[in-house]
Amino acid sequence: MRCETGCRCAGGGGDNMKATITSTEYYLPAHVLSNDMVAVGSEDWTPEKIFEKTGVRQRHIASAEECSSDLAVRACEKLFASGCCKPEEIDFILLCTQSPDYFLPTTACLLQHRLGIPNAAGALDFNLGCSGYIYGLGLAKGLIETGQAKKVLLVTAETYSKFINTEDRSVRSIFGDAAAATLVTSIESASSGEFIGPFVYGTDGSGAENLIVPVGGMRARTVNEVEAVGDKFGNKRTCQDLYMNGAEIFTFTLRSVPKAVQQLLDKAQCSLADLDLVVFHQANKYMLDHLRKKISIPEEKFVIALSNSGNTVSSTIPIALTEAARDGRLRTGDKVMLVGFGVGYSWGAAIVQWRGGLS
Amino acid sequence: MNKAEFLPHLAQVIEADIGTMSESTVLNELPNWDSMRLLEVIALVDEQLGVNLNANQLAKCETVGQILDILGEKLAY
Repeated sequence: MRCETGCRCAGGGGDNMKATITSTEYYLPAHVLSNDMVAVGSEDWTPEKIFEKTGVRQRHIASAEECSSDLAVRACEKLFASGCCKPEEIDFILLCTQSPDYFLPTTACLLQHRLGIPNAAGALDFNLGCSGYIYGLGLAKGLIETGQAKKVLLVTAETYSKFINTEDRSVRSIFGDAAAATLVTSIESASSGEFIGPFVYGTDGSGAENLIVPVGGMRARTVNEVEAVGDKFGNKRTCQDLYMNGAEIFTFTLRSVPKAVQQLLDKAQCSLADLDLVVFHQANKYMLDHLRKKISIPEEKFVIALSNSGNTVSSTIPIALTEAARDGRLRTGDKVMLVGFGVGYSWGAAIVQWRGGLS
Repeated sequence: MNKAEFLPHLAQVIEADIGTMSESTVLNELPNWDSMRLLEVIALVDEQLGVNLNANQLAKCETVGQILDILGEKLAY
């Protein structure tokens, strides 16, 4: 569509331009951290017990030289190699990370250069954790359906392992590094329906201290002597490491997730029975099982996809989508509910009509 | 649910012997008492009593009795 002045802009965002997910891919770093390795030195933790509770058999960990942009480049290269589009077609990069290569410049700018994406493309980072993918889809939809972009590269990339103390099993057992790339494109659609949306968002900054890296930002840049302190469960961390109050996070999800699911169903005027698949942020299996039962989501519609990669923060949902599509569990036309929740606190949920694999 | 009905569930979750567990049982002395157990107690209380526990209050509990105390009137006596 062209705007009235005849210029080559994307137009004013005609009512018939809809955003859709066209393709997803992900990349996991080569190094694997097994449950055997996590359990070393602990009397209480066995490899089997770790799997039973967390649902994680292994996580992939970035090497010392590997940063979020490196993982992101690999995920995007896989996406382009699939033939869904070429780097030169991308006109916007949205990158979600909380472990950027630098404070500045923006990691999405590094990505533009390394992938050979045109200088005419817009690029920005946004800082969110486990809810990030939902927000990224919301931003991509906004850019496309207002005519600001046609092919948005939505990237989620984290190296949380660099924040994790090797003596803190409460987080080391769960989190893994990864990046995922999602191509969100503009398609003409005669129908009034949408392929991405509706959305529900939520924020509660009162939970900030429960999932935090306290030192390293401007509030407290560095400390002279960094001492690891043990907690009552024998986990050790410094103030520069990731701290997670797991129990408090769990009660937050019990408060917010079932409510967000209901709000989204109301907004979409549908019920769980109308959905083909439900993909929650893959926090850990214990939490997911409990939430699934509490919300009465049938097991066959509920995706658990963390045994090979763990909780990869904003990448868990696109990883689960990629795997579900690969396994034939997610097919074109399927209606999928996506729910992300975590650090912030921040949460978001959306319904997506799956068109992955169609270009 | 009253206290007598709730206790066997709690014993199972915290891996205590229901025969010997009492209100003075010290949580830290139980085998496998760790941060994961807190999640399991929260899940149990949510499932059985429909109550969302205050996690920080729960984390401060040192004995079985203190867990029952924070449940307070949610448990019928």
